[in-house]
This record gives sequence, structure tokens and C-alpha cells, in this order.
Amino acid sequence: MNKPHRATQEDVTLVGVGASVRREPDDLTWQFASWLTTEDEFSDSVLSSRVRLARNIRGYRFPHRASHEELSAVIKRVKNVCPKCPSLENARYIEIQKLSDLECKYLVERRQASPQLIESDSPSLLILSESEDLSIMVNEEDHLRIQCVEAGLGIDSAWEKITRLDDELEESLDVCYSREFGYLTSCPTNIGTGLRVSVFVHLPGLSLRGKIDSVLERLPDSEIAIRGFCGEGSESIGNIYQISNQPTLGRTESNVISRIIQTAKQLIELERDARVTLLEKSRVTVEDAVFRALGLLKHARVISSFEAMDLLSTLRLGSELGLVKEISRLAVSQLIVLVQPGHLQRIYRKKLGAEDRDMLRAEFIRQNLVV
Amino acid sequence: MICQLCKKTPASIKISHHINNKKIEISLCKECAEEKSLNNPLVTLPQMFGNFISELIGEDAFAERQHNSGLCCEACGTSWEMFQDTGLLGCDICYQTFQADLKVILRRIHGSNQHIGCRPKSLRHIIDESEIKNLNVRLKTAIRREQFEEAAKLRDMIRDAQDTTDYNDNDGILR
Ligand SMILES: [Zn+2]
Ligand SMILES: [Zn+2]
Repeated sequence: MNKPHRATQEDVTLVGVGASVRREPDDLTWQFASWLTTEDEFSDSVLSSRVRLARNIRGYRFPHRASHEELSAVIKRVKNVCPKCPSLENARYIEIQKLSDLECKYLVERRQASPQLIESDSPSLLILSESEDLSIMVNEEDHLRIQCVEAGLGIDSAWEKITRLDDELEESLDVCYSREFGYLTSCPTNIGTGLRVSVFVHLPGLSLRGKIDSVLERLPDSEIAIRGFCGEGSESIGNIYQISNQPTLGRTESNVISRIIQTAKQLIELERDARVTLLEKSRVTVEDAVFRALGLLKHARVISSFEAMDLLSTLRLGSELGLVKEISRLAVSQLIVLVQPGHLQRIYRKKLGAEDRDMLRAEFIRQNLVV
Repeated sequence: MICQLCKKTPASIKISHHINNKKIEISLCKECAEEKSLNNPLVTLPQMFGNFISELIGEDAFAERQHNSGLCCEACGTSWEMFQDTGLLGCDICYQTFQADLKVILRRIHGSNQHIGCRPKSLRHIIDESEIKNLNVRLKTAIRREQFEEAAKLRDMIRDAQDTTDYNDNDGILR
């Protein structure tokens, strides 16, 4: 039912990127990474996918036990090696300690840095590939956390890129590895392959059908973990779920990847069915939910980040089902990122308290929903 | 419910994790969630929550494991008790130091304690035992079928593989 939608330039400007978010030369990230500007055939129910590898360098203690000098030495070593990697041509090297809180937050929302990396007081580094799909966090929980984010269900492409970079790094870096335990990591939950594959799925249809809990609880693959948000009354918020592999030891990389893809496709199938059923059997219910969300987003004066996530989720469904013409599905996905606290403060170019943020969030959304 | 981070403000959101058929919930207030970017559905939950390890394997798993108690890694100074507290090891040598009990814990976490995934590029040419067995089977088949060219190739591969496996069989950790 969902024709694949190719992102166009207008979609990007539709969210006010052209108008409100001018690209300043001092911007850390002056372009949108491809996970925010493209879509694939699964984008009706998948926002993006992420693949990451954990690696440590032999001869240094793991970051949480290492001294400042040791951590600086790790950074020096990595800075030395990375320019030799073809995947990192024209990469940027960002020293986290030199950034403002706001810049840090922005990088987290861009998914290039983790909350843990920006909170650390010890020497840490972020390396961003030119196209911003690949990044390396240096001295997070492990010496190296290599990651790649792709639009839709782009796991295969992410894996290809990340494993190529991993090989390039291993040309010059001696990594901690044992025949028995594989790649050695700070936390034993990452040992072995060091591989974590995540898919961020959007399941508003299953939620509206009241089936989300039973589907997630009875996920056939017990090795896959699901993270979601709910309110105090356990009602789902936003309907965006992260599914990721749990075990990393005793599984091959290809096994993990194919299982995640299989589970994601099962969820996509169930979600598509739920949407068809909704339109057939309870069209009014869907329309009511979608237009209530649209009404609030168009007129509200104060919107919290959680309310925004929830309303935009429903709007994304409305756009997907063709009920809402004001805004494209891709533009809604971008709004979900743009209304995060770090982005809002960057858009309005000032530090904002929580109350001001909620007001400006509402304003920003209103501006971007004008036909 | 009170926010698990600031332990002051009432929580307004729960982040739920389904792992190993168990549900783990973290309750947060709006301020803390925004502060830590945990309001963002695309941001991965930091490990600090959790110390999911004890949640994953059960508190009792540590209690049963007494081989390592009092043991300390000579290379980095991490003790078994520190690992119990933080869920983190201090260096690659820790995996040797605490091997006995770690193996059991790894089995609890992963259902396995033997790596079968990719190896670093520099070790990829090394063939392991099971592969040698497999090569021997192929060699026998080739000889039986009188495919002598193939057999010679396989014999060379087995010889090379045995050369490289011998020297790193001592501790499992490749230096
Ligand atoms: Zn709090
Ligand atoms: Zn150690």
C-alpha cells in the first residue's frame, strides 16, 4: 500500500530548514546526514538503522580505568592512524572537551555522539566521516566505538561501510582480541563480535489497534531486545521502538544481522497489516487520532518533547496514509529530530530553559505546518 | 513513581526494555530525560542504567562465583569486587585473570562463551581446529576421487594451518 517515497530537496526545505535553519559556516554539522534525508522501501515503518562495533587498543587500560595520560595517548594513536583510512578521507576530528554543552547536545541528537561520551571529563574525541554516516567515538566505554547510521532498513549497507573501516583501522592498530572471547570490551555484554545492530521502527498502527504489547512480548526471537517509551499509565508514547541484538558472543556477525533484519521485517509486515485493517475497519478512529494530532501541532502554544514525539508520530502515520497533505512523511521524521532541545536551541541561537523550549518548540512546529 | 535519576521529581515517563523475556523499566522525570537526551527515541540508552548485567544474569550469579573473590588484575588493578560493582573490566588481561568465573557469567549473558565471529585482519589467515578437521575430510574425499591436484592444494593448506595454530594455543589470548 505504501509507495516508496524518494526524498526531494523540497522535503528538506519544507521543514523550514531553508528558512529557519540557516547553515552557518561555524556549524559543527552543516549538512544533514543521509539517514535524515533519504528513505527506502521500508521507511513506512522504519525510521533508521544503526550498526556499531566496540574495539579496544592493546597496551592501554579500558577508558574507565585509564589515566588522563593514557587516554590522551589513545587519542594521539587514533589521530595518527585514521588519516590513513580511505573511509575517513576529509574526516573531522572533534575534541569533545572543547565543545559547549549545546554543541554536545546537538551531536547527540545527530546520533554522532552518545550521552555517555559528552558527559565524560576525560580526554575524548569524535571522528566524523565527510558524509557523516560513519563516526568513531574515542574513549567512550571502549577505546573505539565505530558506528554507522543509515536511513530505513539500510543495515547491509551500514555493515559494509563499518566493516571496511574496521579493516582499515586494523591495518595499523593492534586491537584487544582473544581466540576464545573474540574482541575484548570493557563490558562483557559487548564481548565477542562487539557488534550491536539496531533498527528504529515506527509502529503507530499496531498501537492504535491495541496490539503493540502482545506483539512485542511475543517477539519470536528471544535474543532481540526492544526499547520503547511509555507514560506512567503504561500507555505507549511516540510508538518508536529500538530493536537490537542482545548476545554478541557465540554468534557470527552475519547471523546477528540476518536475525535483526528478519525480526524487523516481521514487525513491518504486522504494522502494514494493522494499518490496512485500521483503514478498513476503523477509519474514523485513525482519522480522529491523526487530525487531533494535527490540530494540536498546528495550534498549541506549549509542547513538551514527549508530547511532540507522540503527536508527530501520529502525524507521520497520517502523512503516510495520505490523510494529511500538509507535510511529507520524511519532513515529519526530520521534525522529530529538529524539535529536540539541542536542535531548538541551535535553531533559535540561544540557550533556552525548559519552559522557553516548550514554547519555541510549539512555535517552530506551527511555522513548519503552514500549507 | 519518583524519577530514578534525580530521585526528587515525580517520574512522567517510563523507558521499557524487553530483554531475555524480561521487562526492565526505568522511570524518569521530564527534566532529567531531556537533560540526558533520553527523551529522544533515536538515542541509545547509556550503559550506566542498568548495570544491566546483574539484571540480565540475576544477582545470584555473582554470589555463586567465589573463585575470583579477592583476586585482582595485575595489569590494571581491577578487582573482582570492582567488576561486580561497575559491571566493567579494566583491561584485556582482566579476561585472563578472571577467566574461570567470567566464563560462567559470559554463558549466562550470551548463552555461549566461545567466539565464532570475525577476527582481526592480521589473524584471518589462521585456520582453527575445526577448519583443519574439515580440510582433512575434504582431503580424504579428494584422494578417494583421485583429484590429486585438489588434494595437493588441500595438503598445503593443512600444513600451513598447523604451523600457525601451534604457537598460539598456550593461553588463547593472542599477543
Ligand atoms: Zn529526574
Ligand atoms: Zn585488568
